[in-house]
Amino acid sequence: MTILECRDLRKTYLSGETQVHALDGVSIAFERGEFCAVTGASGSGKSTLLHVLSSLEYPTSGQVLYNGKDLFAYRDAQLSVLRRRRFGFVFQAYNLVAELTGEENILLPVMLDRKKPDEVYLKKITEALGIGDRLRHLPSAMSGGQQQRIAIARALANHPQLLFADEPTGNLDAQSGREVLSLLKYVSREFGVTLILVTHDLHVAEQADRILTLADGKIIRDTKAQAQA
Amino acid sequence: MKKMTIQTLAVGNLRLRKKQYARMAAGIVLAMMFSSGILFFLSCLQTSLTALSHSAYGAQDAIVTKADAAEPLQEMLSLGIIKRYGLAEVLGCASTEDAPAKGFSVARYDADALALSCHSASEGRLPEREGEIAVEADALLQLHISAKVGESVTFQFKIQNDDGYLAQPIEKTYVLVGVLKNKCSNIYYNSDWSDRTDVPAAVVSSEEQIEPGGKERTVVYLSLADSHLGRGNRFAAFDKYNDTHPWFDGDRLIFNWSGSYVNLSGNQAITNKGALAGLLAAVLAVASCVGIVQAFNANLQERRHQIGLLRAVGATRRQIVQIFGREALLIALLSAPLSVALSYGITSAVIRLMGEDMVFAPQLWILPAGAAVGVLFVMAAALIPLLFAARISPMQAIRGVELTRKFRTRHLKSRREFKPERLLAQRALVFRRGRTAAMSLLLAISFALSTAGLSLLQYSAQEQRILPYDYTVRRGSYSVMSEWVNFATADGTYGLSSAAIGDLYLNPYVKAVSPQQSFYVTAEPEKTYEIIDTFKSVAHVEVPGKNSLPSLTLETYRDWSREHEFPEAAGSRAENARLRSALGCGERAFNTRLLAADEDLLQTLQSKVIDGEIRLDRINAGEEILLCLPEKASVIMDANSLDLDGGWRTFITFDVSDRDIRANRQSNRTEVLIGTVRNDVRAGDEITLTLNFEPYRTQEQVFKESAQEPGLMQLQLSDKLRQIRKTVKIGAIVDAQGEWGNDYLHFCDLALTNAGMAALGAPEGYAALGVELATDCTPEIDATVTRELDAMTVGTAFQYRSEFSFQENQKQFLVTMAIGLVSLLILFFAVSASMIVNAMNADLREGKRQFGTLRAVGADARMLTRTCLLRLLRVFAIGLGGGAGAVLLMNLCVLIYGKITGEAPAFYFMTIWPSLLLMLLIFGVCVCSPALQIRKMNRSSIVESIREL
Ligand SMILES: Nc1ncnc2c1ncn2[C@@H]1O[C@H](COP(=O)(O)OP(=O)(O)OP(=O)(O)O)[C@@H](O)[C@H]1O
Ligand SMILES: [Mg+2]
Repeated sequence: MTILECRDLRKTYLSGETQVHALDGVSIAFERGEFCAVTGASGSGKSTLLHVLSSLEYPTSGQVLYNGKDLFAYRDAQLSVLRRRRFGFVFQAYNLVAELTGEENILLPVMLDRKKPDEVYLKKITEALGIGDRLRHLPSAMSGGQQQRIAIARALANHPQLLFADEPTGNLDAQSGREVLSLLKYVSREFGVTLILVTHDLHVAEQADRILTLADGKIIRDTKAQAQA
Repeated sequence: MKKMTIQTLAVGNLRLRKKQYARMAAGIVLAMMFSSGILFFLSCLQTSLTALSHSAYGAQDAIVTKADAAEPLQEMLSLGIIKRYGLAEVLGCASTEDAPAKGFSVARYDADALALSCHSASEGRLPEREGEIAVEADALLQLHISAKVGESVTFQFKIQNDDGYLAQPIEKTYVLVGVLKNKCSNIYYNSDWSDRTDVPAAVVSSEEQIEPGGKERTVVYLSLADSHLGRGNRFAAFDKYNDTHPWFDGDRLIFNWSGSYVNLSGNQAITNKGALAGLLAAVLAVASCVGIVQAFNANLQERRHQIGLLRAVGATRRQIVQIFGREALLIALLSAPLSVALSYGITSAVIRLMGEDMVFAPQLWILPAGAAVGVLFVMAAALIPLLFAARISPMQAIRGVELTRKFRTRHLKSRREFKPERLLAQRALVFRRGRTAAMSLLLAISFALSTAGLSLLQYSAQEQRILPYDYTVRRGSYSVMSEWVNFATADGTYGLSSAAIGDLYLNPYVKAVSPQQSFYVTAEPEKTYEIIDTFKSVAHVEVPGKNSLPSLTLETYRDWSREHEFPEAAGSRAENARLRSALGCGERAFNTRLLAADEDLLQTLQSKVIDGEIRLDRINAGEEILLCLPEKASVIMDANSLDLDGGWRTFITFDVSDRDIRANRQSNRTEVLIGTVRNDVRAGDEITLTLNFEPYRTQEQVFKESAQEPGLMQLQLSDKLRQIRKTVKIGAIVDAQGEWGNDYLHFCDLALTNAGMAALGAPEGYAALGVELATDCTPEIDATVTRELDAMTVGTAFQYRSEFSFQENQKQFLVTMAIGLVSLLILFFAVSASMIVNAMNADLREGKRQFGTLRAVGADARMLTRTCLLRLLRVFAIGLGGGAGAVLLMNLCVLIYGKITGEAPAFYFMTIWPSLLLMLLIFGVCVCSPALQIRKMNRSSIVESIREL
């Protein structure tokens, strides 16, 4: 069952005189529970794709359908609700709220939704991520890896349907990277979360159900499409 | 590639962040404007006061009204004791036939004397040729000269002969070429104890010669050297020189204390305005401090990151300070001319608004000084936070270590459940303490200020008193104080004449004039009365020093007071006894006042009669009088009064109980009731009045040092003393303390009608007048009546007050106050609002990334606006709390001041509603702007805001 689909997505940036086609006619569909890795050279448009799919950025043209409905037809307030309930996003640059502690950052989407936090679930996540002892610190007092793991925990906190992760293991050592990945895979399987993950790491990509490869804003390889073909 | 220097970096910085710098520059211009505005203002105030004093008294420090030699002046000049002097040669005294007793001195001035005396023509010009004269306005008025400029005037001219005049006056005709602004009457304000002819009030040309047989009197105008300014006694060197070189008689020296010993009605207004200006300046100074520091802090916060990066690529601390300091200097230098120009304009506008006696004439050096102060101010405000910023390590700067440091110290409680907007607002307060404090401080100041200002305004609006008459004429000062003898003034009168009053009736708008006489009288009752005896015993008892209060009764009190009174009192009792017997009065005699008024006024006392009745026919015949006494009287001892150094004073008042005293106590004064006496005087009892009148003499002749007691000045009775003695009946006893037209009846005062006074044989002479108009007063009517009153009172010790112009003045003052206050409030309002908006917006810009992050994790615009709102609410709550605290503190100060001085506080700072409204308004403005900013940011894409700068 298709949960997210995009049709002929284009994103063009104007930098000075030259036009940069960060996305150049991307059409793709994701199944519920799917684990999809996105790879490609630096600057090929991976982050841009994730941003547009997760409604963080408007495409220049094209459509994104969530459960068959046009994502950009929603009003801003409705999109906000979607973002905190259905989507989780792990940024390449973490983007934690500097004034909140690790714990508060993690709880932020839950609290924005005016819900009670699911203590058991959160405890499990933080333990699995190995950040139990950093929860009461501010992000500025954490290492890059710790911030990244807090960001992952925040993305997972509200039981999202879709998890977008932009190089979530980029700053981690091999051991922790593997642990984080297995956690992501676990939640994906256990809760049926669709996981779209950008990575440069081929080992990581290999564990995915599906690998997309981008180059110059176009999909040049899609393992699923190949398999169907 | 261009060579990169610190200069290019600084300029490059300026170019890159144009918008940010524009904002900062706006803040700096505002702040510099204030700081130079204060300078301008103070300078103008100073100039205004000096100009006012010069135009009222002249620029001289002293006038010697008769110099025996001029050489010492030259020597003092070379010794550096005086700076400048000028000579005026008095040629004679001009008067007219119908007012021979009055007159003014005519003198020819040299250029220096003319400059120092500041004589200037309000109409016409100064004389240039022989036969021309310019006279001060009041001098003309005094002689009832109605000649216009250009007409010729004939005077009765007494020719000067050194210190006196030639025996025979001549007729002398001058062409009146100018009316001079008053100097003489300001210098001699409110006194008639000496001729006003010592200082010349008319100027003739330097070609004018003295009439044959006469000799000029030399008047010296001089100003002290600047080096003596600001010293304790400016005249010390001058006095010392004069001790060894007597070139004039010490009594002929008149100091010009610039208004401290002469009262000038304009001064009050200008000092009021000065107080207002001081308030303005203080507030603006605070505002500008906060403003500049705020502008730079906001800027620096935004650029902490940049500083960190520069440090990371190897910039030294010095270089950082240089780069950013140079930027600040550049901005400061660029905005200095603009700010100075702006403040120049605004100050001149405000000064013009404040009224015509304010002069906008700042000294020129203020311009560069204003700019320099502004630049210095800006540099200090910029460098202090910069030095702090440069001290942190590069990585700390990049990461925003501030947060970590504060976190460690403050131990934030991590929350497991929270409302994001509330938590974020609260954390913003903690992490941006400085900015929050600045905003709150501004709010607190504006709250306290507007409350104080409005309360003051309200208080001064309430202060308007209403006198019973439209015009009140009273004697300003009594020439010689004595309770035994009434002295005539220079022109041989004992007050205003009925002829003068008759003139007033010629004015068609005047409905009624109520003339009132007041003479000292020695009254001797036929019997001994307990109440009068008691009154006599307490009348002069003042016991200074820290004596403890004995418990006394009315019987023991008299002995006690005799034991404890101070030596002067004992002396004066002996003196009194001597005078009493010299005047032929017995032991029972006491001194009081005999007041007279028209029948109407006496009739108003009808309801106060406690014994007898007011029979006007007998009073008019001089057979009966009224005695002011209550039914019962209490003697009270008043302790701890400050002017007696904690001593005692006894007074008598109407009947009160111990409880009344305690209930009525306003301060920490101790009042003890000694006892109560019954009024045992009966209507119909007889009383002998002795009134003593003495023609005018100068003060020295009246008092002589006592032979038995050196230091005690004794009144010398003259052989010209005219005595009236008559025994009258007490027609009625009235309990009317505090009643009467212009005056108040006191204990034991005697009252009768003017006709009765005449029947007693007293000379005519009114001490006070009350004038009632037939219609409501208008400026035109006021002008006609005051012209009349001017003519009546000029050159005398009498003053008048016009209720109309008093009210107008009051109104005008209130309007000025209100304008000042409102412009101040508007200004402050603008400053506070813009600073708060600026700070909030800076926060939002700094928090752009955070803003994006919050949106990415699902926060909507409403929640973000709410966060902002909550934060503002907290800032306002703190500000309001601080402001309210300040107001309470002010009230506490008023209360404590009242406790210390023993005065009941005149008012409290309590008009808070307008201030609250003001705060609400500021709040509204402050909410709108960030809300708009949030909406704008919300429209851009999230990724846009998240991206690293
Ligand atoms: N705001 C922008 N303005 C102009 N060009 C942009 C902007 N954002 C992205 N680009 C360009 O779009 C292209 C795609 O960028 P994107 O961030 O998606 O690459 P990426 O595949 O995520 O690279 P990396 O692996 O380095 O993260 C790049 O060429 C980039 O220069
Ligand atoms: Mg990327």
